[in-house]
Amino acid sequence: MVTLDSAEVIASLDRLIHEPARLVIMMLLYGVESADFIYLKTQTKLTQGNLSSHLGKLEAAGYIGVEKMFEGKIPRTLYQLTETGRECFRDYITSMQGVLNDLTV
Amino acid sequence: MENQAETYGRQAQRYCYDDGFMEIALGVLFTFASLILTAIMALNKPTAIAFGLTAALVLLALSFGASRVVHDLKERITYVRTGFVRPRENSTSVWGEIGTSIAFVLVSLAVVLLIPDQDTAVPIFNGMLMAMTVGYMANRARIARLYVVAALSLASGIAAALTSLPMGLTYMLPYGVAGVALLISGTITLQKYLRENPPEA
Repeated sequence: MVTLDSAEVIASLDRLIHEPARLVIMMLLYGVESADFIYLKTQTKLTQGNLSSHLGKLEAAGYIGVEKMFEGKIPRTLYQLTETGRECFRDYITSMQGVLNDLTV
Repeated sequence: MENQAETYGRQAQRYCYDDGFMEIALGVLFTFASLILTAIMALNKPTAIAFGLTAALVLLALSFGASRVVHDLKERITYVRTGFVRPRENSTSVWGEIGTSIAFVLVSLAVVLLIPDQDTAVPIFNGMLMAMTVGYMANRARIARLYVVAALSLASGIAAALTSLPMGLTYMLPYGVAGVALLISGTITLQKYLRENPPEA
């Protein structure tokens, strides 16, 4: 059963992170220092357009940062969680854990 | 139980071994080192010293060159297929690494003190050295096949100490076994990687 408290927590969940594809991206970036687009695409199994759109939304919210660099002559764009992103992800996980602990079936 | 974020972190840690290039390069270096060691043991002392010094420099240059080649191959083959990732620094393993190093020193001392016969002690020591080097890599990235290579190196060192092969051969055996084992496992890993990750059209 979901209690009233849990219902409030669910209603206040960060919807930007709650979307499954973005949750996977956030989870992946939480576990690493940074990753490029191809690595994220390979690991998340999202299409190029889909991934690009979700990354754009997370970047606009300030959850991920983009670092453009050159490795020799090869350009590389790396994505990483910002401090805000890390904090929001931790908050989201804590909230979800609370809700799931409350949930009995 | 490991959560999904930790699983992604672990995957990133072992990503540099996914394509097999690192193992192949190390395999070449260890095999080369074992051949040098055999040659040194076969030469008389003054020639062996000169040869050994030259060989050490060649080995140093080779390892520098190998790291460049591995980097270039990864740029051309790996990063364009499955991307690039920077793993997070693994801070929890520092004490483990210090503990392992102290344990290695203590076991090495025990081998030297308990086995006075040099022809028996040196192959065991070499086997332990190789096992520790490869075991360190295996432990950092949690790769089962590297644990097998580490165990093979140690076993070959003990086997070499128990056989009556010529001294040069017993000394080089652990390096040679580790080198060839890394070459084989690296080649199989590379084949699998290329099969599973064809270039995008």
